[in-house]
Amino acid sequence: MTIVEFILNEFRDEAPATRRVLERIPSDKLSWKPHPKSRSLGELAMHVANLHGLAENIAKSDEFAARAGSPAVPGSVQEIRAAFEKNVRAGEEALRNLSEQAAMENWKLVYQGKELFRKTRVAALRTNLLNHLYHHRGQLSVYLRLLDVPVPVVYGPTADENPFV
Amino acid sequence: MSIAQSMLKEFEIQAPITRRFLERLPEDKLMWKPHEKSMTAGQLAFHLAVVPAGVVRLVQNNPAQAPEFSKTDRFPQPANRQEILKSFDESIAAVRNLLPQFDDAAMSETWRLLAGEREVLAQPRAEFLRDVMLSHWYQHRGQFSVYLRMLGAAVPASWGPSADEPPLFMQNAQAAHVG
Repeated sequence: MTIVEFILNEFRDEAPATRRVLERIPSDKLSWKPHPKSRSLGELAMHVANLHGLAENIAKSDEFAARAGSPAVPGSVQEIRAAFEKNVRAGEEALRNLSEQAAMENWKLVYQGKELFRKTRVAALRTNLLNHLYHHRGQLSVYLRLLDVPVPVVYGPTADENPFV
Repeated sequence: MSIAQSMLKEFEIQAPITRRFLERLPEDKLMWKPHEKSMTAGQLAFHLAVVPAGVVRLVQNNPAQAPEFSKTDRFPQPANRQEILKSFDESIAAVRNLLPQFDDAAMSETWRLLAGEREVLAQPRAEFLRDVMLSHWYQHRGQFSVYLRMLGAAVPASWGPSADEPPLFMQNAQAAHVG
């Protein structure tokens, strides 16, 4: 298996768990947050959905220009889920067409015209897309717990669901 | 670079960040939990500490026997932060010692997990290590970041900035500038 295939498989295999988490988001709690310094539920879920868009960006572009300002606030759960589904589809397609050679070329993050860092595409996919995503999906699972929503299985049993029995 | 070397390289970058999360847990909050169904902060921190060693040891045998946990010893309650950090440092040492012993052939071979006679998992060893030693570990560190936030502790930067700290690449640049 090539590195790109490994990343593509992981991107595809992780999507159902993320979808399960996003499907549980209560539509009337989007502005809820566990602490004044925290992202709201809606902001965090939208961030998770939008993060998937990095797959297409990293595969096809040389850089990503990060925007200044506040996080995106979704108007509805449908908006979050639609963004997620669109980004997953586009990401899979872009990763399928990513050559091993292009994967080893650099991609950079730019903010206000200034380069923040550069790394190979494959490193950016690993760190800035996938690992970063697992972190925020974990945060979302705590938000669901605090809102008394049954927490779906991601890697193993939760207090509500057990895939092994 | 072999698969094991590239995984170890990632682990060596992430382990000090995880340690910073564990160090921030207030000593008097190990029994705190955000919800009655949640793990306590101490249990979650201890889980973060022991997962890397537990996983790298589990994949030594093929097939491996799934450990039998009762509810209480699956997520033990540590007595203090020192116990958590000591276990974590032992975990790091185990990964450094055991992970590089797998060559690419061993990483690519199908690894099987049995519960008694029943096969519960069969996947390339590298995939299991990626999913459970790393991705699942990152998920729990993300959960722990919410715990720290709710406890009023400063949340370390990890994949990007936190509300308390700039991203690590900026911290490194500042350190280089000052140094």
